[in-house]
Amino acid sequence: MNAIEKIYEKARADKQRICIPECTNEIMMRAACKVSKEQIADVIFIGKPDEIQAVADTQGLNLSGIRIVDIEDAVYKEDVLDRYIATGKAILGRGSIAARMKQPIYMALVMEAAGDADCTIAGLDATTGTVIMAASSIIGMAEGIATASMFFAAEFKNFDGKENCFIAMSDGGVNVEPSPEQLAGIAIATCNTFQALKGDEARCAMLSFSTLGSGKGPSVDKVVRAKEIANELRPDLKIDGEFQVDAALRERVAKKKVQRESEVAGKANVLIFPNIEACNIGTKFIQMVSDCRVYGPILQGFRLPVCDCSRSDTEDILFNNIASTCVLASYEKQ
Amino acid sequence: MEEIIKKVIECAAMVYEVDESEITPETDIREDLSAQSIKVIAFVGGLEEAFGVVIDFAEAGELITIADFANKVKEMM
Repeated sequence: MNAIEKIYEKARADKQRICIPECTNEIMMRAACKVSKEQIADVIFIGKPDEIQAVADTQGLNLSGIRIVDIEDAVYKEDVLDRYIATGKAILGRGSIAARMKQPIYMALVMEAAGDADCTIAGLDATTGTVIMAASSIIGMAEGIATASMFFAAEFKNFDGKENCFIAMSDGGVNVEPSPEQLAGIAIATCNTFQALKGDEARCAMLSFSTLGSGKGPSVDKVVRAKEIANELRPDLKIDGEFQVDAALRERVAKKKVQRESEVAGKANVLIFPNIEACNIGTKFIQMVSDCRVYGPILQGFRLPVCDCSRSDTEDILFNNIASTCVLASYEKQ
Repeated sequence: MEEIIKKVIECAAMVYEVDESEITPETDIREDLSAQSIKVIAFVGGLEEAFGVVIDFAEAGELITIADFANKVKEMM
């Protein structure tokens, strides 16, 4: 069973409630209906019921089993907002939140924050910036994590003699030049996402052009400091560095270059790049030159799961991202 | 306008935890105070509460200085 099949199995075993604020997008609606039919998640559509039904009719889709929340239902809106405010975790004032709840994405996030849903997926119509700002202002960041980031993973049929090798990477999508604090948060969030999806312990390498001081410069200092912060914040996670990528992934190279004990060197399954350029180039290069299965990108770092899909996503990619987000939601409850 | 700028500075001082005397209409909120998006969200939220307006986050992303925010608030009132 490959990683995505295991994700489907986990999602079905502990079904989560996912909010779909962009449900009138035909591609999103088709993916969400398939998710509901295949028992991956309990789906909640948010919008105007007649508009939602009209799209379903044109697509020939059956909405039975899907909960539809009317964006204009003032009684429910007031009730869910009251319960969100009562959690004591609201970031904006009541008036500011109420005004934004006219938009389905904010309604969805307030429902999630109030406990009426477990996760949200958006971004097929909205930009990543919009999704990040909405999630930051309603859900807020997880403890110890200063910024949102993008999780990306690749599963290789065979890598260095290891079959179905699953390697996670971040952040190739949000933080252009993360500070040491932000980089530490990215590492912690990526370990959490990896462990939720894969079920294995994360071994996280903080990447650089230097291995344990073989190179010098401000970018090396930043990675070293980020590793220290991550170790202080989460001593339970195996986060080590700074390592070059070969020292992180190949045991024989690690034996030469890493002249000390390390639970990560040579056997890393999570790679944290020093900035967006390195990660973005690295992940795209991997996709171009290898026959790997790709997972994500998944937005991470928030107090509760929010998935930002790409505006170019297909029905199949959305289906997989919904399943992954639900598994993350289930894991974070444990 | 002076009254609006005064209240915007008060709000920024509270969110960014700096003394009001360190903030002027020319202060760049990201360069001079903090680039963290969560701070900008709190600042916008504070302005909305103080002035009873709603500022779109995408529009707020294009505002740079305290004076820019004050002008936006005036436009929304």
